[in-house]
Amino acid sequence: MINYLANPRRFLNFFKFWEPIFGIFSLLLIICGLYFSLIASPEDYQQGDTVRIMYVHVPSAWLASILYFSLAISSAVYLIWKHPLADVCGRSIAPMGLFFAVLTLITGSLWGKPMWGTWWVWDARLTSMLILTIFYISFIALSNAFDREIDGSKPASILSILGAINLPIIKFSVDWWNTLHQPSSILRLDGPTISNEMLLPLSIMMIGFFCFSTYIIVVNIKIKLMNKKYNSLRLKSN
Amino acid sequence: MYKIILTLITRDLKIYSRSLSDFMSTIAFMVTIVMLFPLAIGPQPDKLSFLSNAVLWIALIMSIIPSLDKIYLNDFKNGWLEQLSYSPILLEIVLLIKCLTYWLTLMFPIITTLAILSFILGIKSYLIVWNLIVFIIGSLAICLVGSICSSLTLGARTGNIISSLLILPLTIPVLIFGISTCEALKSNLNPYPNLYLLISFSLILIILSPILTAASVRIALSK
Repeated sequence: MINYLANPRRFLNFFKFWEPIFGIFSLLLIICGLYFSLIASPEDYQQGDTVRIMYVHVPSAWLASILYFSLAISSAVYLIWKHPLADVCGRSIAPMGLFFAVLTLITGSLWGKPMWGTWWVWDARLTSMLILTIFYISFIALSNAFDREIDGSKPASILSILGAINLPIIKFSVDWWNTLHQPSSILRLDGPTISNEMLLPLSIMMIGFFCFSTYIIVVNIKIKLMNKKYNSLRLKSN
Repeated sequence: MYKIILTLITRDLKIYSRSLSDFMSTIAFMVTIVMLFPLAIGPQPDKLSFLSNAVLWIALIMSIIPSLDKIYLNDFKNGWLEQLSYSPILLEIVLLIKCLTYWLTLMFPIITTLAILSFILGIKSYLIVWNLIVFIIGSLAICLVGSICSSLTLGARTGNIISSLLILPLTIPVLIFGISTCEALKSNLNPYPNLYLLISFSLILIILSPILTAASVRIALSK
């Protein structure tokens, strides 16, 4: 599968069909998920209506981490096999991951104000998420810091692999330290502790966000590949 | 082998001894950062001694980081690193030697200044020697992390600000373990767990940093 998609032309052909499907799916799933999460799901007995922030906060936090993981993997692929598509892929993932990381921080602080009484606390989960945001920013800055764009790819790849140390810290920060942030309630060894009525809209939003980010990343990759082709054609014609 | 290593060290030491003003400005920067805190939070001695460890650690990190470009940037520009990459010695070892030489050179002025600044900030005198040992170990880790990051930005357009941005998140473990050791000493708790973590972090970096630095220097040289 990955070998098949590794060729840019086959990649473009494959996603000519799949790209609109991802787009339509993400639109439908997010609308459907918003209906379920904002209207059809029950209030929390403790938190009231503010619990609905969770349906945006949790999927975006997950995607921020997952996208960083895929960024590190594509960087490793680029460093090992020097495949140009992996570089383009990493460059397209990073802005999307930054978007979700910032969205997580914003929704988290909006949720924190009514629940904890403060916009921000310096506990482990929040701080490690902020560091993740900084890693995304520095990846983007470093990959664009060179006169020729391609020169920035390898340093940025090394940086993103170095920053992947942060991911397990984010995941386990709520278990390792006593934090104000609540412990994870979905990915647990003893099964989710969240009620099914809330789990349903959360999963719909999760899949919807996933489709949305895939769609945007594919569009990004397409634009970057077309740009490359355009530049090489222009150089040829000169 | 030893002869070559000795040559490398003496060459770097000579260069550093002829650019003493750079070290002076690093020290001046450090003193200025410490000076900003009393101006910002007020000159009450109890407030200052409460924050003293934090102030010193932040001053240490912030003053080392801008100077780290010096380790490789000039040698990269004048072609010395490229020459070294063709030498029979592993590039990893050469770069580790360069980094350690820089750290040792930086240590003397920085530790002296930190000792004076600790007195000024009202740290108890029997704690200062302990604190200085923690600072020495911590600054080794900072220099090793910084050597990775400054080699990543070799040849970049706006290297300096970006390498500072890269180094800062990676120095967080050093800051956490270092501050915890100093605070434990201050409140008469057992400092060893955090001190051992700090030492182990520095030792891991001694292995890891030359490998990553050499990889990114090779990338920079191949451009």
